[in-house]
Amino acid sequence: MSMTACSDDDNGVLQNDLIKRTVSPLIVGEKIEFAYAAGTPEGKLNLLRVEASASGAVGTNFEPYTWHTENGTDVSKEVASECKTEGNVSSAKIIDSQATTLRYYYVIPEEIRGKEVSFVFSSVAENGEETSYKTPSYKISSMDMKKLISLSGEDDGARYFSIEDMKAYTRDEVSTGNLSSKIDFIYGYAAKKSVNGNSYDYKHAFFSPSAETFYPDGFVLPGGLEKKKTLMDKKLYVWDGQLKDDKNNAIFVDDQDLKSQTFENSSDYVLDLRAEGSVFMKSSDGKYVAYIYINKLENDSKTAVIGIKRLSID
Amino acid sequence: MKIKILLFMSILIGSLVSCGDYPIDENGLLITEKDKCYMSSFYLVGTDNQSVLVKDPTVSNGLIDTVACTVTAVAKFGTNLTKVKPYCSVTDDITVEPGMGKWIDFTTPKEYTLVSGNREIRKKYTITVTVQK
Repeated sequence: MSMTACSDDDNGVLQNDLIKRTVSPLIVGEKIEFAYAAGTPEGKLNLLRVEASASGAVGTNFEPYTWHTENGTDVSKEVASECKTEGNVSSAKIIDSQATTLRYYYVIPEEIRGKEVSFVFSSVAENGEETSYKTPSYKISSMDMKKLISLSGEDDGARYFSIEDMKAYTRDEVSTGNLSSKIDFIYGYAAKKSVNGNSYDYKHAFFSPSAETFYPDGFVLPGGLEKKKTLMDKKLYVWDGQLKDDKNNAIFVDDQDLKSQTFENSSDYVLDLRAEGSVFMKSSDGKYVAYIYINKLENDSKTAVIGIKRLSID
Repeated sequence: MKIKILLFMSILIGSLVSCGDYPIDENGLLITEKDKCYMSSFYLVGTDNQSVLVKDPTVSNGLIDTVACTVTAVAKFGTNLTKVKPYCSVTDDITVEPGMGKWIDFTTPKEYTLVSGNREIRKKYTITVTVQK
């Protein structure tokens, strides 16, 4: 959580304060969460309001509850009504309260990708007194993100991955959807690979269509599939709290992390992937740099669950 | 407490005096009296900072020959030898030229020169890494 300290009026009896609860990269489609508190010793609160510098996407609004913890359990109490958003302004009418904290969720719209957004929170008491709190400008990420994508290493499984679509396709979908030029890498699992009469560990792997030497035994590239060479660097202990879906993990991969990857001498395959490991990738057309986080690997079912953060570097 | 302070100060002054006996080279490292000059073990990691070797070469396992000054290593199948990072263990006060710990292409043998602590003995090690095929 971060404090934003820019209250415009500290001299009246009506006071307010603000915490920006979101610390992860601000990605389009995700929410920026704030906790806005206001209180007065004289009379009651009437209204809490926030004006964003750019209208949020659908779902942007105050939550009508205030939260506290009892015996380790979060308990909510409804303290607001008529929570609504019109354009770039959200408001909530306070029910019979001198002081309260409401959560405000701003759903980041596509229109401000790569730009900045700021907010002015304000509160109004029943006696007409008003105070406000202006935030600094927050930079919106240019990345896209998709969590918990299932992969299957079976012949007819969803294993043909498009970085542009952030999606895994089956062989049939690649064929019927004319996606032969969209597949950047393929997921596979085999305990071993036979090479010149020897048997070596293979395990969970990502391989480019170009990496023929490192196809799993028995794999045949679908006819017509473009032999793209996607560059890959395998990593361990490079986590991302958003893809890991771990609120206690404050480590994140951001735009600069992706921009700074060089891929000099990188391979077009990675073998022996690890759960909670990751892979940085660059598409063969140079259009995208991506970070793939590996949530889960299952040997028996030959499956994986991954997440992706992708940045266009065109 | 006073005794502990006096003891600490004595050790500190003693170490300063002993450091002051050794000259310093152009890299700010002490030039000592040590004349041993050999590599005791070799490590190679991939982009995930994990070892890519089937077995780390050491003097004891015979994969480091301190007479011929050679290191022989085998990397696991699938290792991208064009992008690996070498490290090694050496005896006291030795420097290694060029420095290790940087990404390097190890598809051909590489030479590293070990220089003894007294800077009088130089040994050129040839390190060869092959990949399981």
